[in-house]
Amino acid sequence: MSHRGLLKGVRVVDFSWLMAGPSGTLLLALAGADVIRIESTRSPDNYRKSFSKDGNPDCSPLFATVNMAKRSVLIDLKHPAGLSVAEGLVEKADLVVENFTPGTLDKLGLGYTRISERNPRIVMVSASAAGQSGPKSHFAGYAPHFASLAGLAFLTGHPDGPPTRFSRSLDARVGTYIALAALAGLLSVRQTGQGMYLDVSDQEVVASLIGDVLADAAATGREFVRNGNVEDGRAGAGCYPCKGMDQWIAIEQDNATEWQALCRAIGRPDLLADPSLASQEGRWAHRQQIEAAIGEWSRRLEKPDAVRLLQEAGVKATVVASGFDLFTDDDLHARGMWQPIEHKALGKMWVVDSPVTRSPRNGGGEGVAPAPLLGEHTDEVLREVLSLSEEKIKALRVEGALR
Amino acid sequence: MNGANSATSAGAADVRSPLPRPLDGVRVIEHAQNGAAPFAGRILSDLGADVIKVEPPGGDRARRQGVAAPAFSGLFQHANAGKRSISIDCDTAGGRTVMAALLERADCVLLDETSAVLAVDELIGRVPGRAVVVTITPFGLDCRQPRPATGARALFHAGGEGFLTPNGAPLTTPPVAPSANVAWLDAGVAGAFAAMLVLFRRGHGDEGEFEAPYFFDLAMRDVQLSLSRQDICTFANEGHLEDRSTKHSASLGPRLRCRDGDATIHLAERHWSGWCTLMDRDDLVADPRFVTHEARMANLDAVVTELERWTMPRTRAEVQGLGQPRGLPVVAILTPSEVLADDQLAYRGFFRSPVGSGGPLLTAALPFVRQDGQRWHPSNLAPPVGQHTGEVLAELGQHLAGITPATTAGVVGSGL
Repeated sequence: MSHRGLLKGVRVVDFSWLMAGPSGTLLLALAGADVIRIESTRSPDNYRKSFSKDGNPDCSPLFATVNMAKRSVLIDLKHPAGLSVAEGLVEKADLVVENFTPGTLDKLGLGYTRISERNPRIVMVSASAAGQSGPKSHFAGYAPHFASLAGLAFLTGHPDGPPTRFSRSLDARVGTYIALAALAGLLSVRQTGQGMYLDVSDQEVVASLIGDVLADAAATGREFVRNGNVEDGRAGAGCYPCKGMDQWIAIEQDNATEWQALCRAIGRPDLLADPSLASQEGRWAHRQQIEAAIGEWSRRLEKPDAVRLLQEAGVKATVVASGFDLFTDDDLHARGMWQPIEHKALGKMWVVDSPVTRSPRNGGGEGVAPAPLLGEHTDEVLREVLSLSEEKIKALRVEGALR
Repeated sequence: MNGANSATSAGAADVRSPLPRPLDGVRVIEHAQNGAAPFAGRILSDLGADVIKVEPPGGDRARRQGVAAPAFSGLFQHANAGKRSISIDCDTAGGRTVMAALLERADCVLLDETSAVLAVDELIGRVPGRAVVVTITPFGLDCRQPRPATGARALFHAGGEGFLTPNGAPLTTPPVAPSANVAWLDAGVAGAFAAMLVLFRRGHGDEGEFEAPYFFDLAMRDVQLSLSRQDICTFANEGHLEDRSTKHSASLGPRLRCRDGDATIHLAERHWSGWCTLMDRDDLVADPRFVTHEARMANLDAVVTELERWTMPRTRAEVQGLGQPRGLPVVAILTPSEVLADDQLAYRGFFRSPVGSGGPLLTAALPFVRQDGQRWHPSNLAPPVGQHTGEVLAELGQHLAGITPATTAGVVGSGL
């Protein structure tokens, strides 16, 4: 079986929207789960609305790059008949995912207590800014806010600059943990026969990903600060400019051998001969001189040439990659990380595959199905999962339950 | 939802959860260092797996990383809590015999670029067909670069997010990565997810399909790319190159300076009148610079100036405490030590001092809570090098019939 089929047979009813929840169900969909997104024309996903071409909810590239391989069903959850359709789907599902403000699904009658009565084996994963319980559970918040509550915003940036405003990438990190929590829940059901509710806190997700710094802070009592790309005590490592606008490389260098290699690579034997720079401490004391020497060298070179020269000399170096660099990277294409898809409204486009279940190297695996149009699979899912007749579906549509 | 969570408040005595953990009975062999594959092992351990960390005699490099190393390493602690450590030298025949015996009993094997010493192809033949093997390396097993930078910060830059960070900064300032090992830990979460996919499938009635181990070749750069997929794809699909000068959404996350630090807000259309009322500045409502949401976004600097007139004399806690009850999303930008003391994280029992810490050592839990308010914590601190060597060798028993005490003495590191 291919990696893509590992979750075949797992049905996910996905009430999530925007970025965090959909990123999680994307990982599940790309591992073979049947992810059914519950959407509504009354309140469409803002990623369909705000980022679409001409306001057409089917023409949002942003939505299309995070909802591949899912199905979309239109249901008005505030319509009683719509609510029973949703309940019917949940009854036939293994997993429910949502990332509304805490309490929203409860108010709709789709909270865990209610749905577990109808489907005791259901796993439900919620994600919210600070979790469903506790003094800050009512905090509304997006990525910049939970990054702030977890310490990452404070820890990222230049020493003389402001804390960093994080955005979608942190939602995607929440998504990875949502997918992981979902599997923990599904494994638990196998073990106990009982469903499970898992309450993911976005704040905790970010704190978990800087848990190393938090543990150091707890053990030492030291206050950690943002320091650009500099690691204490290490000179000659960080980001350096190359030829052209906004072109950069990253260098790592932390021992005598690498220091010698660096001096050779940048053509500065004089630095190597300087006794004041012989030790790590000496280099740290004179770091401005070293930074200037590397920058002077790197500015004259194209980014890939600088990296090649450094690597060949034995220095660890990498380009600071832009969207252009990553899209034109042969290795990423060969690894199958870039997948071409044919989207029904947007046409041919490129998406980034799952880093876990991507196709095998140099293709040969299954491609990625495109993101659904709004409500594209309503009839199909209602027929297939709930065995509803065409007449019944038509009647539901007429009474306004499927919009 | 059942919210109260007093049973797991921070610092409470740590008792292994009496409730079953989803990976109880799963045996994981980890031969990896730093923060990526070990963090995958840590997650599997929290979920109940018996994770045996195989370390070279000198121990994982992470033990020597960080401000308090080698006495203490936050990275090592965070990525290895709850595991057992066996120290063997895989360059020796005896060490390889032990490794083979460990692999023969594994349900899951976690490897990284330091596992080259294992001559993977040969030893992987010992892994049972039911198992999952996850390698997590910086650029993938087929990386052709002679000497790529592999630190967490470099990978943040290599995967596309560095180029976009700090968001809103001028392009003349260099990109930055967090002062933390986020890119390594990200890969660890993805690696744990990969392993769990197979552990789930294996019990799904497909036993017959597992004649050979499942093999995942995860690359830390791929993980980073996937996390920034939306911003990265704009070039591929729209010809528009995102950079850090682009503000994704001006209303989301402007910084407000306060008396004791910074706060950040979300200023959607509906929030402005609330701010004017809170600040007792009804004059701003009619100000032509702020009269519509579009006008406010176009004059965001002026908006921030007016808001800071009110926030700068106040503490972050005051600003947050006055704003949140009025539905104004404003939060303090917390320092790491403030995160450690945060009431929300304490209420939910996120941090815990495991058995034997006897001091301010703590570990962060997995970031989710169950319906009963409980969560899966590591039961122990990260082990000293080879702490469990003797114990694990004893368990291997007859598998090691070929190892005499004399050869064992030569191959096993500290801890016997």
